[in-house]
Amino acid sequence: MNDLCIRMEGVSKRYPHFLLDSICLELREGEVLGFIGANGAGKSTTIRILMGLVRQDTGSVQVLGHPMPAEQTAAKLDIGFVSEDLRLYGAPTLAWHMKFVASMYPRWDQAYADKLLQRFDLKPQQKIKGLSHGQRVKAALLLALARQPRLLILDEPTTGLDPVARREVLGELMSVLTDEGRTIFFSSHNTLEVEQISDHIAFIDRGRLIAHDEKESLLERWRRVRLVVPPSTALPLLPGIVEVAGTERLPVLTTSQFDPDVVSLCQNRGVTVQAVDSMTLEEIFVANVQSRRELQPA
Amino acid sequence: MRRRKIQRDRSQYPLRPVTEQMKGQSHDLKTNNLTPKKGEATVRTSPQCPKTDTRNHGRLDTIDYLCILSIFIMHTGSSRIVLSQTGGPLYQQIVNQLKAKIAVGEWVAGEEIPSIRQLAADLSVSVITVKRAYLELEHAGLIVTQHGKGSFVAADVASGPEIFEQELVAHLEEAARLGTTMGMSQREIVSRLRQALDETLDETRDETEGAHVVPKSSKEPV
Repeated sequence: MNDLCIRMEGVSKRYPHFLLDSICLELREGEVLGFIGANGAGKSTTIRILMGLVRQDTGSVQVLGHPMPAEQTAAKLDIGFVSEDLRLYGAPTLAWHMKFVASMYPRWDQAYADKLLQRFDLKPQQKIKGLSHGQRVKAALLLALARQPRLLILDEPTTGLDPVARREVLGELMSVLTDEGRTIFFSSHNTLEVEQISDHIAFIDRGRLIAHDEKESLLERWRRVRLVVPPSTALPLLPGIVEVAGTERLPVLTTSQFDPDVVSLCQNRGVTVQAVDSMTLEEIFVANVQSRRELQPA
Repeated sequence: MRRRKIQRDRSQYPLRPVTEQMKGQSHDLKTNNLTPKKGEATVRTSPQCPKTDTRNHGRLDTIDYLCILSIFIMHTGSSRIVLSQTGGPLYQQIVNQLKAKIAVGEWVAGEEIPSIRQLAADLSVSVITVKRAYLELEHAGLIVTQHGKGSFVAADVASGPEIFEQELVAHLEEAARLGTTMGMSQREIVSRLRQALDETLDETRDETEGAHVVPKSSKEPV
């Protein structure tokens, strides 16, 4: 248990207009990693390298103990991959696809596949070209889940799903994890669901990993502190400030290293702490990205 | 690397968590609004379940029996915790609701409670979140986790009133600490407490008079 399922070390890849810059990432067995990034931040490139679809310029990648892309065939037996641009055949039915996938993967579980059909509200006799976008995503997820892969790599699995379908999909992903030997790596724009189901969170921006931490400690460290500063009093220097907003008398500080001692520290300088707000993952992500972009303009 | 299979049967957790968008429906200890009674929870968790038709003169038809059966299955197969998107940190909601379960005696001393992974799957929340909630309950002496065996309600768990008493003491200490750091005098702190008491009494009075009072969401500033 808790062996490393994914290990990336100093992985770089250069494109004419984009550089994926020395990514180091680890994911242990039985855990969920939520991978968050803006459009064009390098999420899909990272996932393609993980899957062996793109070869990195430098650095090493191990997935389920297999070096990538060298042993990608062996690794892929145990990886379920769903991405937005994954295409199924248009003319055949979902039932045909299920049979096709089952013929290649010995661990295919038909009873589980049937249950997923119901849960995802899909009809096996329907042709893929007649499905909506959301139905196609659910069909691809079904095909990946019923193979019972040890590692699920999902590139924005819930984009384009309605709220009911999204809940069913998240519920299904989480029940996969009652088996301690299974792991999920997923990217998403939806920070709310990442916050809900991830154990670890990684932020990527402009090709660089800017945070990689346990979810609970990440949420615990980021706070917005609202102060009341008396006239002609200096703003106390607090640790980990990434942003100062508000007005001179009523500043609002965003810190990435909050400590309850901050309250008494301010008090000693004659500054009143009006409120300490916890932040959502989305707010933390945006504050983190913006502060870094200000320090290092493109 | 050996694979360990904990649970293969997915039919064991038929109940998906219900997220309430409505304000004032969070069941935390502070509002004294505990886990809903069986009947209420049923209406909310199985919308396909029709109400008993009064024209039936109280007799139950087949559908009712099916509903009752499904209630029974849900009751035995799931933890029946309801998380709200607007109810504050998820781990805190879990802590509060499990505390309430123990306080009202739904879970008794020594009883086995869902494993961390099982509860995470039931609620569709991350394992680490449930782990954190369980750790907090362990520190409070309410549950014990035995490695490889599972988690149980502590054998010497305090009775309901005592749990609320501990909660009250913790809140009072926190209020005193906050008041002091904000530079308030003792007299001020006491008067603020009295003020809070008056407000609560007003709310209860309004409720008993039948006025519709929306309880404060735990996220709103007090």
